[in-house]
Parts: sequence; structure tokens; C-alpha cells
Amino acid sequence: MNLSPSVAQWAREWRGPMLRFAMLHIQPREEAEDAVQDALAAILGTDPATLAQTDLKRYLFGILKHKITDRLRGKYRPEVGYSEAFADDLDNVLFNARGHWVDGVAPSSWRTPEDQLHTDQFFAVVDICVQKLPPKTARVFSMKEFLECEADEVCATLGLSRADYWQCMSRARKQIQLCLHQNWFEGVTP
Amino acid sequence: MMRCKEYIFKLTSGQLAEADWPERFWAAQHRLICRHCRAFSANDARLSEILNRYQARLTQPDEPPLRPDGSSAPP
Repeated sequence: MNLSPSVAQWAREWRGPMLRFAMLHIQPREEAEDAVQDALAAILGTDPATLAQTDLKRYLFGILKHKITDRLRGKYRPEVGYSEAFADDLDNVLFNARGHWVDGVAPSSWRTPEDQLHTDQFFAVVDICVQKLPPKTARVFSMKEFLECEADEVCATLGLSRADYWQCMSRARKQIQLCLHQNWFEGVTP
Repeated sequence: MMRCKEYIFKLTSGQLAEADWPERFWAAQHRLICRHCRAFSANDARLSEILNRYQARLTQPDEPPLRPDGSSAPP
């Protein structure tokens, strides 16, 4: 196959970030690589002059998003019951029987200077906290936050109810906030 | 009266952002009286910004490889 120099160069430049992004949603790595390969293959048929006039990053990640959701739909659609994702109920740790915060567990307000939140070290901690999410929760959360799918599309793709969707999103945001609080904000002197 | 557990669930699930005004009113009332939920809400808003930047970093193109002399390869 003859690739135009510009397309081959784009593929080299963007393959790494596309793979990192795909691996947030699809495991194992080989399957994420297949999704990236599908997305890159899809641009081969596009007129380079047309590509030159588009926002290439938005275009590539737009195609990748569709390749990822296609795979998620095929992989998880028959799966039912997200209730097991909530087996280790975080709320039992955070709230007492009356629905108020358990003493000492509520995070205090984050006061770290903004410039410390742009460092490689900080984003390494964010990465760890995102990767620690339970698999089903992570799937829902990353589709909404990183693939920027609407709630209806997430529910339809993964075959889950709106109530399960809310549970997953809530669980993810609570867990990530607590993780960042414990591993970064509590330990950084403002 | 809204409890902390209910308030935090509505906030973090995304329901509060889509709620009608009476629900948002009661949520605001709860925030006024609960400093823990006030702090959690402020952190949650900051978390959204952090996640946006995290996504942007993930999708940045890779740095060009360094040459043996330490300079970067031409584009």
C-alpha cells in the first residue's frame, strides 16, 4: 500500500496518543491497537487536501471515538447487571446510617496553587487514580468524560439503565476525588 | 431536608446539573449549611478542570525522538 508522505507522518505522530486514549477504554492492549489501526486505516481513503483543511486532531480522535464505541457495543452489549460494580459500596465508608458524613472522612477544600496542577508528577497521580477505578465503573466514566458521549449513548452502548449509569458516574467521581485528596492534596504544602 | 449522601450522589452522578429549579434550590440550601459538602462540591468542580487537562495531555502528539547529540529530530 502506498501512503502519501503526509498521511504516513501523521500516523507516526498520532499513533502514540491515540493508543494511550484507546487503552483507557479497551483492554487488552492488542485490541486497543486494532481500534487505532482501524481509525488510521479510515483516513487513508480521505483526500489529503480535505484533511489539510480540517482540525486533524479532532478528526482523528472523532474517528477513533467511533471505532472504540463500535467495539464496546459489540463486546459489552449482551452484558446485564451493573449491580456487582457496587458490591464494595463506597458510601458505607463515607456516610453514616443517617446519610451524614462519617467523622474525619470528608475531604477538605483543595488549596494547592494552580501551577502545581500542571506538572508531570501531578498527572501521574491522576493517571493512577483513574486506573484504580473498578472496570465497569471505569468503562462508563471514560465514555462520558473522555469519549464525550451523552448519557443516552453510554447507556445504549453498554446496555445499562440510567440508574446504573448514575451509580457508576457517582462512584467514579467520589473515588477519584478521594484518591487525589489522599495522594496529592493532603501531602502538598500550599 | 436533603442529606449529605443524597446531595453528593446528585452532584457526582450529574443529576444536579440537569435538575429543575426546586431541586437545585434545596441543593443550594444544603451547601449553605454543610461545610463538608461545600468543600466536596468545590473540589468536584476543580476535578472537572483537572480531567479536561488530563484528557488533553493524553491526546497530545508524542515528542520527536532525540538524536544522539541530544537535539530533537526535524519535523
